[in-house]
Amino acid sequence: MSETFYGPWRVVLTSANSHFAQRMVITGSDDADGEYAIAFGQVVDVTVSGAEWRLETQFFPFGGPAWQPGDTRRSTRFEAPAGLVAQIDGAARPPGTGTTFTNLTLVCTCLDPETNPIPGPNPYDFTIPG
Amino acid sequence: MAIETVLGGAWTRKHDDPRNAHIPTTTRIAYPKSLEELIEICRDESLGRLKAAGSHWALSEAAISDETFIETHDPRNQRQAMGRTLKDVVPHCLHPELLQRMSEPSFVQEHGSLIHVEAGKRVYQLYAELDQVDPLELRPADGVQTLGAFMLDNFGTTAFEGPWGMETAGNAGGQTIVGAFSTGTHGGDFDCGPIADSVVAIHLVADGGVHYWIESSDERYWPQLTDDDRLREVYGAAKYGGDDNFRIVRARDNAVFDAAIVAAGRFGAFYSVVLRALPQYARYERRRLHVWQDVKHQILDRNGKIYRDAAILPGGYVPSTQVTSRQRFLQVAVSLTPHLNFQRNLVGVTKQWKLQLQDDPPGRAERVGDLVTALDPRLQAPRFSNAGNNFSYRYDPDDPLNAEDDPDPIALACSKGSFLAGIIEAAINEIEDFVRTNGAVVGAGIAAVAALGGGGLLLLIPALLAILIILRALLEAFDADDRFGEHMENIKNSLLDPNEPDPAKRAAGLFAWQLIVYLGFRAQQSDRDYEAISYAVTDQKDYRNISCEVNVDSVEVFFDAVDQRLIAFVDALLAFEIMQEFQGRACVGYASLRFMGPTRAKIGMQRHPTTCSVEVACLKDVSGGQEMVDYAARLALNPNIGGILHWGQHNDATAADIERLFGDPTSPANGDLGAWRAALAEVTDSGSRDRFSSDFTRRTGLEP
Repeated sequence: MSETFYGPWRVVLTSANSHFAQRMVITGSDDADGEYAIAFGQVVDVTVSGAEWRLETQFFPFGGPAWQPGDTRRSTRFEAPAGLVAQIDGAARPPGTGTTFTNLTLVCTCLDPETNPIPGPNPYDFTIPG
Repeated sequence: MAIETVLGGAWTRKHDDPRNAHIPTTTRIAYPKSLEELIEICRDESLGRLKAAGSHWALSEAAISDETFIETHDPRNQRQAMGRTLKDVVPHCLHPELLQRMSEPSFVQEHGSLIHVEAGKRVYQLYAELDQVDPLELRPADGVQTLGAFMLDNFGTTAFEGPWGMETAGNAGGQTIVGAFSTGTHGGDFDCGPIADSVVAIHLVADGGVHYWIESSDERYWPQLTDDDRLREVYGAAKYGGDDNFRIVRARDNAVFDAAIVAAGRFGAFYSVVLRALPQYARYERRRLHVWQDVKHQILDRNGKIYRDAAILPGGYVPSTQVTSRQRFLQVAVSLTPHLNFQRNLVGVTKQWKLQLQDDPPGRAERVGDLVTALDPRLQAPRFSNAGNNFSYRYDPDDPLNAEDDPDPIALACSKGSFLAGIIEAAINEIEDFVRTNGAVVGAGIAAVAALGGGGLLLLIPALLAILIILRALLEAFDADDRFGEHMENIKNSLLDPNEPDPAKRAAGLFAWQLIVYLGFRAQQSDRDYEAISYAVTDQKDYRNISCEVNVDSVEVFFDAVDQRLIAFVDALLAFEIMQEFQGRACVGYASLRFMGPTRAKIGMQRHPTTCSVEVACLKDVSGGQEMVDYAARLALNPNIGGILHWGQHNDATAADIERLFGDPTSPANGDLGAWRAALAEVTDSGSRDRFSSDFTRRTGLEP
């Protein structure tokens, strides 16, 4: 199942662990459309922009015959100093067929400065001994 | 017929800056007093485009007309309102089979009663009238029996004598009932939808003067609510344009009804509405102070304790009457100003349960009071001494079944315009003790605003001395006639001066600001347990307020309550406020989360099994407040966040936003927005009758 994003984001692969071959497919972006291999030790760090674009994870089952859409779970949080973060945890199986998502993790960080009011380092020290 | 009209008059909203009219010169403002006059206005094409307004509480542009404004209730209460309670349909046009069913003993307990009112009745007037016991006069002076008298006369039952209450309500009753429900206004009862879902029929006058009785097909009112022949006898009369000018819309799929009940005025002007009312009841409210960072994750668990708390806890408050519901209400009020060295934010968590009505319910005398006159000519309804005319209900902490004899100064703060004085004095005392003892004495406020584990605040002691001088000067210069926002702007400017060259003084000023806001929020959201009649708990508006609620802006954003983007949205607001404080700005306001069930309205904001609204309100007098509301509105409309804006508050949505949120991506003809537009086409001759179109509806795509 594809996940839809709007505007500029940075997509970073932070974990990959599967017996199957996996990849991420981006479509609808301004200039980052394509397939990106996902594997242990692989570096994926891509900036994607576009009014509305989609990210899909895929896996290649043993014996093929073709790439299949993977299962994903999206979670969203706002955290300093990154800002709006969407984490895609994925599993190498057809969408909606399981409850654990441990085969890959993509951390997507919104790069829209309008969205992210990043305060910067705290210049104040309001602490008391204790 | 001469309809009262003002040419070129100013038009402003309740929460606008009182010094400047929102629209200094309008084309025309019309004040209809009856259905007949409303039809005439809608027929008269020379009046150009039209839009009906209620009490001017909406902060959006939804009630703003391109040309002619139709007032159903003069916001200044100087002209006659369309505020009658009507008896010709309820009971006399109700379907005979329904009336028979209503006479069964279980009907009232399961489905309550019905009330039919004109569009301009304010919510506080409605709940005041509902709360009266019907004297059941079988031969009333005007010759028209009430529902209660009719049921006694024809079925021998007194079950409809009342008193009645509203199933849910917003936290202020000054809106007209139609203004409230037609913009999607809601309470915090997560076991039911917004006020619109208590509506069972609407009487709409469309462009051209054709009027529609649109009623819900609802098994509760099987086989149907009203009888067509009887309705036509009343509304097909020549004075309303005859039978050809009156249409009854009743469809199994409720397509037009579900579209028209929340429509931001685009379908036309409502003349009246039939609402469901419940047997009157009381509410028990428990509020506790917590920290946002500890509470926020509980919100995502719909089966968690925050939604399913027990009413009676060991050693806790025990209501005086039986608890008759599970927890039904939840509000989480978040302080935007951080404490604990920028790491935490206070929240007040409020929960409510339904109670059996007490014999002498607390809050009735204070929020409704005595009957002053049976028919006030301007209200076109009975006037009660305290309805819409008193402070919010305050219980006596030492005697929770009674009101306070002398409401505390904080509660009356805004009406006196000087409530901050006590808070500033408390802050001065804490800072003085801290400075005098070289940091040895740490008051509760300072201990909360600072974090343990360092000595940063000790280094600020010389700068805090300078801040004390500023705070004392502010206290001495307090003018009780100034608005709250003006006070806060003075304080903020004195404490958060971004041009202050001394970094220690800047830090000390910010610390003092956070201390003042912390103490103020803690006082306002402190622990409490009380019980009162339903409306005294839901309507917390201080109607004597002359200070706090003008020049206010607010935005309200709706999310699926179990969607993590809700939490991300609030956390982003908190980050924005920290960023502002670093830059010498600050928002005096709050983010209030309330929870509600789904709505039937096609473009209602309550689109999930449990919807959470986040209201961000600010005082525009204080720089940083408007910036916060603008940021919240921008962020909400960011499709990555996916919030829906309230139709009646700050709403910058575009047609593309509305299509994304309410439409079907496969085809604009499908989805809820497609259905809404199709229904609109039905009452506008496929869009050719477009005089209720406005800048707002065109911008938001609320067009056929």
